[in-house]
Amino acid sequence: MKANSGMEKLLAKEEFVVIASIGIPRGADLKPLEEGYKLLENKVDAFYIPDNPGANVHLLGLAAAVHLQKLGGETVLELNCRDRNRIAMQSYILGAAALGVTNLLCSTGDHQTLGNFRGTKRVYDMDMVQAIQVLKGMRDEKKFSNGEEVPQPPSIFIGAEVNPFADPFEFRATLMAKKVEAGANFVQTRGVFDLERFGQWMELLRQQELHQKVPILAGIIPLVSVEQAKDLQQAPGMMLPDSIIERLESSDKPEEEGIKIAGEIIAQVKKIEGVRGVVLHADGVERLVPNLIKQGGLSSKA
Amino acid sequence: MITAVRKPLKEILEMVAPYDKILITGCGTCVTIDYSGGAKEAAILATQLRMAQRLAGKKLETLEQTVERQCEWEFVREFTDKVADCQTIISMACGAGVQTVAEAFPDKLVFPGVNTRFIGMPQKQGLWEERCICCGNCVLHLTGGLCPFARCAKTLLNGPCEGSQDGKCEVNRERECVWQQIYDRLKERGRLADLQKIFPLRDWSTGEDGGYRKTVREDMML
Repeated sequence: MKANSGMEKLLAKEEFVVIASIGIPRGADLKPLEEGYKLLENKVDAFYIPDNPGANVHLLGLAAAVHLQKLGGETVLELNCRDRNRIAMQSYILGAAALGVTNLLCSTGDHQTLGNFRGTKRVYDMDMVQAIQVLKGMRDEKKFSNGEEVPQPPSIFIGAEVNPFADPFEFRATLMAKKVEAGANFVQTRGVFDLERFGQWMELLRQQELHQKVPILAGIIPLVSVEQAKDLQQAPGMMLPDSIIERLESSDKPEEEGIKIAGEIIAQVKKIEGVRGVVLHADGVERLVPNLIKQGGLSSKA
Repeated sequence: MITAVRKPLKEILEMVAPYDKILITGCGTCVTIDYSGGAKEAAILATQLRMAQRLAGKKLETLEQTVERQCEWEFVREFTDKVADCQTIISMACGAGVQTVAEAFPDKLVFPGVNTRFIGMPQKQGLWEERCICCGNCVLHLTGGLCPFARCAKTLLNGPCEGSQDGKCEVNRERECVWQQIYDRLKERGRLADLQKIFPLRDWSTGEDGGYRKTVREDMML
């Protein structure tokens, strides 16, 4: 075991892991988080906490994670390279570990000009591969990135964001291999809609036996409207087939159809060798998760 | 070359509103080549300012002078006579030139006439592209001759981010993703294995993050 992580233990037991992201408040108030928690309590293995998603200011992810853990949930906390230099990054890692947050998901981060704070200065001191490497170095070698000793190493199960839908496609397996070599213990994908492409990507990974090296968790986004689907289709790094939009358009209840589609995607990815869990992105619509778990044929955690 | 774009006329008019005799200095090097601040652009600005002031019922006299380079003392000193004859100066040079003029003539206020943009090259007529961020630690031999710092919005060194699609950048779908270009070029050269290697953390202190930079060449000093 790399860390005192419940998720690591579940994955080691070959369980199919179910994570749900939770809407992070945009105000100085934890109540909305608690409301989301109540809707998901005992239904999922862990809560995924995005890190200022969309390059917009949200409540500090670490604060949200600590609060959720107090309430009784395990968390997977995103750590992006956009907002922190190596000093802030390593300090955040120490703080997270000291407060009992054991799963960190390294990501590059949506570019700052895509959010509502366009004029901000960029950081990207380290890229994702380097961030993983630094995190592993702190944990396993007890070294900060400058070689100085870490008095008490952080016990962290290291995650990495991966995207089967980004290009250059053939390079994506190499890129994931770099993340694994750097120290990733699990990977989490962007939202899956295009199963054909996802299957091709998994095939690429299997050719390099990457699926045996780390558990792959597939991102699932329940669609609630045609507008949301169209926005996502245009969003960078996403692939959403027209057929899905057509299904939503021809439905009287797009939200129900969206859950049905997500359930079908879950059922499909679950069958793919190497996929060891799902991350349900239902931020703000946590109430949909119980039905999604049912539709996807996932076991309830209660 | 250093590339620049002329500041909007409105902004320049507001800056120099209190003055009625202005020297406009062009630079004969980079900003001449990119049509932003050479002799021709200095003359155009002078005409625009005079016309605008005349329409506003104000008097304005302009002087113009262009030198080879505004970023060197010996060229900037050529402005001495005209500087003495004006109330203020608009320098059409890049930021380095504006500061050289300001330092050479400390009793005159110097206004920038252009916004300096980047070190780059004219890709084709009317299009300039950034190529170098002066990081002070060049890696072009490792990346197929394409700079991931100047041309990747996230200055990534270990490959593309999760937003690169169809060869385009996440930030702007009109812009090429340099990591797609690096991949394609190294593939052509049969050097894709180079991209399997993990590049460690960079020392950014050789660039602007290290603070005000000076290059000292003792062998050159007199």
